[in-house]
Amino acid sequence: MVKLMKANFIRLLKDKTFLLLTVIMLAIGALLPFAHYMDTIHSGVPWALDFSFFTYAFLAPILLAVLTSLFVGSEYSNGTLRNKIIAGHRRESIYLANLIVCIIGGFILSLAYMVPHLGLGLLLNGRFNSDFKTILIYIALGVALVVAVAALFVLIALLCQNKAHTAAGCILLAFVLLLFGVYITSALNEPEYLPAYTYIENGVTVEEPETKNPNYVSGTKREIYEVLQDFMPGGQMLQLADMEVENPTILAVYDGIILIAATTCGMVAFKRKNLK
Amino acid sequence: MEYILEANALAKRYRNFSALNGLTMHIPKGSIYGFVGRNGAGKTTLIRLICGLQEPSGGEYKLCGVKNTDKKIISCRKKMGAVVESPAIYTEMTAEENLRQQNYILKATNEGDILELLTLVGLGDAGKKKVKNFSLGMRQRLGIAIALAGNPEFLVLDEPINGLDPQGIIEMRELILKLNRERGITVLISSHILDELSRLATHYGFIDGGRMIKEMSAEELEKRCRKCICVDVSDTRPLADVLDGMRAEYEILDRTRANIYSDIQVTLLVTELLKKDCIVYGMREHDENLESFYMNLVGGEQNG
Repeated sequence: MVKLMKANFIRLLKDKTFLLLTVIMLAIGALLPFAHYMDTIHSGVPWALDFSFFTYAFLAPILLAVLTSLFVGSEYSNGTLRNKIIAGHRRESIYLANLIVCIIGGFILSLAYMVPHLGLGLLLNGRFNSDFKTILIYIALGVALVVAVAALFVLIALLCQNKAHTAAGCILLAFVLLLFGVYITSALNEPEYLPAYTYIENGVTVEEPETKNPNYVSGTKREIYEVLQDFMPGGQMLQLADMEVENPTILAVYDGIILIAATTCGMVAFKRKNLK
Repeated sequence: MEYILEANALAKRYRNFSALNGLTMHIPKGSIYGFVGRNGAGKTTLIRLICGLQEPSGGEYKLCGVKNTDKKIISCRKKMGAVVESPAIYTEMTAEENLRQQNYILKATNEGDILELLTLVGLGDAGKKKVKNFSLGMRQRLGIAIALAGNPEFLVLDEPINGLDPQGIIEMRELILKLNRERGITVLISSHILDELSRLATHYGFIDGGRMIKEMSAEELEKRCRKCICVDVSDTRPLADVLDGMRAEYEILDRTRANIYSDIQVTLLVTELLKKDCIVYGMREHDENLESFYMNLVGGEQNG
């Protein structure tokens, strides 16, 4: 498997899509602290690195969907997957080698955002409001999230033999996960009560009391939504980006479950697959 | 005879469609085996099975003596190289980079071998040109170079001359012959371009409807296809005497039939046979090539 990983990794480093995505992450990682700094100059409100340091948590999975689908998909479109099987490699090894290299690709994309963000941020007087331990926990959760989404994308990419379908499937999944996360998060963020307010009508001041919010999610439904928010990568992406994770251990466990479930299913199906 | 590949009652079913129906096959070591069949006959399916891309639904095959159910079959495939349907190459890379990728996978050859392989297949001067800018012939040659990267004993080529220009076909033929003669590589070539195959193959396998109709050596085929006069007579013993007297090359098929391979004067033959009270019932010229042989074989099979 080491041979396969080496071959894949060298190909990844020469891959134009990967280089382009890395440049995009570098650019966004450098632009955001600069934008915050300019805001501070104009508004006088101090800024912190926490504002956008973990924004990569929802950028990286989307770009990783593009990378995985094109990188692994080209193994099918070029037919080079056959060379690996004929060369005497087990399908499990081929699957794992692709997964590990895509995970490494995801880490590099994340680093491409974090390094310039941190470097330029420090130069522009940016500091973390959170303590060092919290930052480390969030970085670890970012790593776990990248691993989990990479497992999902590799599952699609190695089970679908059409590169265009793979690309559509992976990118669609990334956005569906994100939109689902947005939906769940916004539902959970609904306040239980709408605040009291007053208004003047025909010269008369009318006072409206605090009322129950009909969109507030409560009871078992709320519990399910909370589990989904923690379990689904889309929910995790938003929690990480906003640094609003309540239970980091649970998120890491869920990422582990996604990794093991997706990889086991993927490897079993890939082993049985009729390749062309 | 030692076989590099043996298939026995091999079957492959896709839902309601059977691509292979109990196919039996024997590829002798050191041969160039021409695998002949029309489109959809099951040629590529068999190649996919032996390359490990798909699992058979029934039957078995042995590669270099190792059964497909044996766990060693995976490592045994290192002894083979294959170009299945289209060459498996990274189009965004150069020829050299493609071979280097294959080397990483195999951990087989060194940098010097890469240049040697490229020169062998006639791509020594491909330079920094990316594969996406290669002609079809160049891609086919690179596909073969990649298949050769692990120094295989067995090379599988699926339709290697499809789409090539006449020059490309000649170069491909010379390359295959060179690999077989100089490196002792056994080659399985699937093709339906029979004329080209007849210039290469030492053995043939004719497949139709997922079954092997006939396997034979090139010598046997040559005998079957050799130009001759087929004679029907009342008794072949006097015929043999007359032909011996004429120093003609012939083959007695049974008590009343014979094939004469030499150029003979028919009038003289008939006159001499009449003197021996041997009646000539019929005489016809037989001139068959691989194409007509195959068509008769497939047609006969279908009619049967």
